Amino acid sequence: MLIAILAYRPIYRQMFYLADLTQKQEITAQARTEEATETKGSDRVTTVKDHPGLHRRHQRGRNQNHHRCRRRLLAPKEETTRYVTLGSGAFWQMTFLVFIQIFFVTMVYGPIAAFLVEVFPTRIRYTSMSLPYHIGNGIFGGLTPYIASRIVEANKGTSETYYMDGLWYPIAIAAVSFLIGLVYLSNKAEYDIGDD
Amino acid sequence: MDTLKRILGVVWALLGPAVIIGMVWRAATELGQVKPEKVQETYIFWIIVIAIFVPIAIGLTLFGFYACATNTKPSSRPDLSVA
Repeated sequence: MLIAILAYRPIYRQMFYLADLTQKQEITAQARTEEATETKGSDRVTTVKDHPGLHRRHQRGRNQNHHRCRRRLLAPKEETTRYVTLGSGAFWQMTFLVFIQIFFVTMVYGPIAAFLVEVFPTRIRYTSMSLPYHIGNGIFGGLTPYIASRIVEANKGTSETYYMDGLWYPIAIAAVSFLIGLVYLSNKAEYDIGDD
Repeated sequence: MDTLKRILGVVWALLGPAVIIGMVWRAATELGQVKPEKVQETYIFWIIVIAIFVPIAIGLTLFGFYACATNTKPSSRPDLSVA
């Protein structure tokens, strides 16, 4: 858990870096067509450009798109959509980073059943396992995407790495759990774990 | 170790109310300066967060209270020992 707390930010920083277009050198720029595929470093970037001139040409050339072009002509605002297809080196690096995080999950999930059984005596075991397990999974796990993305949204523009701020929520929860686990739990079964 | 448990117990006991006050304060601040088109989503977020995390913070306070007020050694808890 400590490794996870310390590794979250570097892992996500690296993942962001791998897909960050500003870090990459542009080799070819083909913005003339509506959809252009460019190669940037080892990655392939597909750029879809919508600009007024293009639509005018479409309107003349293809009548079946008349309605669509007409509608867009009313709002002559240039829109660019970009998709990044990672190069093979970056792809495997990204796969490795996700794998590390799966490793963290399995390190927690593997021993959890045996561990929770040993922590509590039999007559309160069901309640005392169920409550923390489901609060942990349901409330903290389930709300993490919502709260983390809300933190990012609220911090937008306040710092350069605002996209990483959502990580403070899982880091804080993991840090509290780590401290409580470290100080208050013993790794020996303190009660007779058999039937009573 | 027992001293550390008690000291941290005080920390947890204080962290609970701090979280509740912090959440309510932040919610009030954000709702006070919210843009008209974002009123609904801001309300939904804070209603969900406060409704869910206030009981958890109360639980954390109770945990801290018992961590600092009771002897945590199993031998001193005959009600929990089976042998």
